[in-house]
Amino acid sequence: MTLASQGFAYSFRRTWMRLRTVVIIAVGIGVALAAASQVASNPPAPANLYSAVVFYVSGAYHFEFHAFNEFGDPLPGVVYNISIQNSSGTPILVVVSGVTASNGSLELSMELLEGTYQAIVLAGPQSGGVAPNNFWSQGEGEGDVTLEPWSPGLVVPVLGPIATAVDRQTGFSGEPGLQLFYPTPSELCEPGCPVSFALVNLTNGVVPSPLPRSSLTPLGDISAPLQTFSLVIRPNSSTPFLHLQVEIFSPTGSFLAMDTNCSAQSFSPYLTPTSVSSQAFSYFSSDLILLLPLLAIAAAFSAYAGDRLSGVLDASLAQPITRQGLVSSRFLAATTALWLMIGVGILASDGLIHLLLGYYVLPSYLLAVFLSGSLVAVFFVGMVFLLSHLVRSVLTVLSTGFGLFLLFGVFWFSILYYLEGMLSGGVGTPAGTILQVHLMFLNPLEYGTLALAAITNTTPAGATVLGGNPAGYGITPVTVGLALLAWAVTPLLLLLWRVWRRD
Amino acid sequence: MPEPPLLSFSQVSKTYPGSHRPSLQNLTLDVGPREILGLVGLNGAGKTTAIRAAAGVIRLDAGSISVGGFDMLREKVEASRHLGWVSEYPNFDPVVSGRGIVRYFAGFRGIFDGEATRLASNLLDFVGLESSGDQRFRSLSQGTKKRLALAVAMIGDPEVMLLDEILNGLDPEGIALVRRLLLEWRSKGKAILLSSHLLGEVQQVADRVAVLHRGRLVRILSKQEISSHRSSVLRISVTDLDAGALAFLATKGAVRRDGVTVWLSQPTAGADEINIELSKRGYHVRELALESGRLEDLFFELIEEPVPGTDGDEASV
Repeated sequence: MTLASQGFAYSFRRTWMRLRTVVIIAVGIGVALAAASQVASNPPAPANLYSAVVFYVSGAYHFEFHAFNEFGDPLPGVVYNISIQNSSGTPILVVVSGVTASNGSLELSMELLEGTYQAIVLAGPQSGGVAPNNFWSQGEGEGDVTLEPWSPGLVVPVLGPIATAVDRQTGFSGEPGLQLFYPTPSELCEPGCPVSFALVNLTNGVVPSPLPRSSLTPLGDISAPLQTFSLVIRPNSSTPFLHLQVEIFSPTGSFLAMDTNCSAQSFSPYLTPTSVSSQAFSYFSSDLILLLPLLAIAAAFSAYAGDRLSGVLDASLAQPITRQGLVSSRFLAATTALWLMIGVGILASDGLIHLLLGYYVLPSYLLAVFLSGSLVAVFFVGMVFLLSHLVRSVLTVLSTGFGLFLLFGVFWFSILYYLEGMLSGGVGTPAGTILQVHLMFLNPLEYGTLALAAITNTTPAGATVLGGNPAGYGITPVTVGLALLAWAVTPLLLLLWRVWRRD
Repeated sequence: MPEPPLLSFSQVSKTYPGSHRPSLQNLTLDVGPREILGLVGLNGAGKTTAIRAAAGVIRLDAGSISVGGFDMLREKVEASRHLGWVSEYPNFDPVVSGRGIVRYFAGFRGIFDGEATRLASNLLDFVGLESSGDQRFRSLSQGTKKRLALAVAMIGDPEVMLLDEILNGLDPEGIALVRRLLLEWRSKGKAILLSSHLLGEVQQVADRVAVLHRGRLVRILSKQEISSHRSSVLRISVTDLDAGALAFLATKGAVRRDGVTVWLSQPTAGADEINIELSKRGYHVRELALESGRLEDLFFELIEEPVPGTDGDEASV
């Protein structure tokens, strides 16, 4: 070991000891515990999913409803209410309602002449004081389903049940991939009906035509009235899927039902899950990202800036170590202590969530939080180090560091809305939403959202209304990686330049 | 063949940011083995800047400094290994004990664990701090801090010692310790750069004295030059010295007063004439002598500035 590296290693080790890294790591575990207590007192509920199909048989339209949660557990007690109108809207011809049974299923039939009608469907839980809502549509109007004189035997999915189900299931059980649950209607299928599927690649366009039979892969046979099929797709970042086509055939091989109308982004192996574990983890990640800047400012001040401003650093500068070595060893000590805290905190939070809810958090979530947390740590440590070379007042250094925290962590959304309104012609407009996503690049505290969108290839949070591929917003692993790197290293490079050139 | 210097300044210049005046201008001087070089000057002359530059604490604008044959800029690590530094105002981590501070700095020289603990005890004992070694730095007196800084500077037994106003704040025992150490270090072959405004102390121990003024090296004086210097300073003791006597003396040269004694620099009249004139004015002259061999007088002559004050205390610059 050379003399220079000996001094560097010693300075690094001593700064670590001085920072009481164990205490910093304990803070990370403390945040995980606090978040876990939030989860325990207010556990995130699994999302409820509602699927339905409608078909016309023997002079009647038959609705088959399936209510289940994101884990595939049936939801009994869900009220469905259907009002049928003629196509012009009035008057109401038939009203039927019912409640899902213990298996989460409900069948409602109404005898009508074959024709074109509007069905208004209301659904929702019966208990808990939550009003039912007309949460779905077939595509025309909110809560409306258009009934048509379909050919006998055709089963029409009213919702996009596959998209909804798939979106909720990704990786919740800790499987490293996409899990597809497809509840199938059983009315027209005798046991033995085969279900086939095909994944439609991104390159095939947004709304693909039905694929040829040859491209379909058997998913399994129907054997029960309500059955879910699980399809696990291993992670493969190079193959994002936009659409899933599912077809159901009779035992004799005749075509019974098909669904290709699944929304974009649902089938990427790196989906953004909204499972309970991810919701629970968001308690930890939001607490951590808010606390980290303050912790980084304190660590940087303790490791270096305080010594520099008080003159204590001079005695170390006279020792056998270069000034760059002294600065960088202390910088590395402060940042690695914080990295350790983030890493241990994340693992602790993941473990506690598993303990409380039985599910691990998706690795992509953990990675995104670790990356963004590391960026926040490096940026704020670097800024405080740099500030201590630019100004001579402790108060100025600390208040500037705290001001940056206020800017990025507290007032950011006010600034964002102001800019959005001023530059894009209105808050909430498509242009405003796109601008809002672009402005995320200017805030180091927003890189959790950006990293997650880039890693999972999903629409960034804040733009879900618009939807679309993250690349459309300029969010790719390369752009986010480069921007993240720029935020992280810029203060450090300026600091080293200053140390090398000036003091 | 003369031994190469252990500490060498070559054309060193430094101007602090925001300052109009350079703190050091083309300073060139060497300190050889077995030598104590005194560095004297008025406040702001550049003494501390020169020492801090040699310690590697501040950057130079121009020039170079070598310590033990290593360039302080390009070979900082090796150069610093040969260096011990006591700053004018020692400043260490306020919440760490003296023992902890010595142990911490020992680590930079590859001394760890038990060896560092033993070294800390030995050094603290040597500088008379064994009993207060476990006190936090912030609770130590100024003199004790100086002793602790001395202990830190002695870690690794460096060949070059930089001592900036080391006698300030020390009690008589501490001053005696420093005097003893200086002589001991010199006998061991070390090079010592000693800055002080106590010219009498510097004159007492230094082999040579470098006079700095406004960032420039005015001259380097040998011990012989100082002792053989016959200054034109009259020392006059007057009974009932009052403003009238001082006003008269001020017309004959630059006056500095210490009690009933007046030093008259660069007199425009001879001793006899001044004696007669004072007697005529009713003052009783108890003593009148031409001073010689005083560094202080030589210093003021060299920097060509009037001797400060007419009612000053002990001579200090």
